[in-house]
Amino acid sequence: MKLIIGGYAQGRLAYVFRTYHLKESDVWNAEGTEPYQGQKIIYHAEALALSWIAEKYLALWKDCIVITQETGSGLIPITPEERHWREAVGQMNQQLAAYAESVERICCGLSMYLKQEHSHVDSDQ
Amino acid sequence: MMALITGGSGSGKSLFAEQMAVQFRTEYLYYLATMQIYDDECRNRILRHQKQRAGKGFITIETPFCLSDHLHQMQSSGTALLECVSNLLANLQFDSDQQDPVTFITKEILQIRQHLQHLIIVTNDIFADRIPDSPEMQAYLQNLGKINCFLAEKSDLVIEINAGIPVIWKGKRL
Repeated sequence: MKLIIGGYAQGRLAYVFRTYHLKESDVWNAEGTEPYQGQKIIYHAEALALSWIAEKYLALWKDCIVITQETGSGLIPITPEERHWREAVGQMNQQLAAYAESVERICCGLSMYLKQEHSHVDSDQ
Repeated sequence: MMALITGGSGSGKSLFAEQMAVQFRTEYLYYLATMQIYDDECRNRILRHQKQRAGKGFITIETPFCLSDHLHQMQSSGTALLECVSNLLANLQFDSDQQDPVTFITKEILQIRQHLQHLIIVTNDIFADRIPDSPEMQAYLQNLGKINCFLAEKSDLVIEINAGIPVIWKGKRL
């Protein structure tokens, strides 16, 4: 899995299309109502934060490029529902990032690796 | 050269951008100020920024809407610091008749960039949280996101400031 994280309107999907030579028909939008049919790109993964089941989705998406929303660097939301959602997205993103071979953060349409594929850095040593 | 400086509120991006502008050592140094004064809070913020850049040699040009109106006030050998895109967009989107602020702003910025030797642009990173419900605010975020992506592509240098520390996204620091 490749994880793409970043803020709203930062050009994450356009970056994925450009970099990985994919197109609109490769996208499954988690915000929509269509069932998942094996698409390569999972878009708006944050929409599943409240129904997140790590074992299920990590296995299902193991060869996917997952695009998620970066949250948490703002005011504490006023309603308990929003606070709960924000925390759930954060937890989900952590699990996705731990599982993914690579994690890229997108800002202003540019990418920065937070975690690299085939990295020989072993955090246990 | 053109540099885009982004970061959260209070990250130190203004101070960093000012220091960078001074380092270019051009004879003329312009500060393109975009904030409109609505209340004491705005006034105090402006005073704080004026104090911060005092003595650095900036010539301040007030330009809350139309940057190209001020081209004739700037020597082409000079450096300008535009602060900031998020204010400029808010002015144009919420306080003018401008129908397409994204195209307008990006064109204007390219125009002043071509006119000057160096341009440093300060923008704002306000995207990493829950998307607001208001359609106006969503449109504002989308517009600012588009402008930021466009400017990053055109810039030689893109730097994010976090707690005063520069994180380089594109290009090489001077």
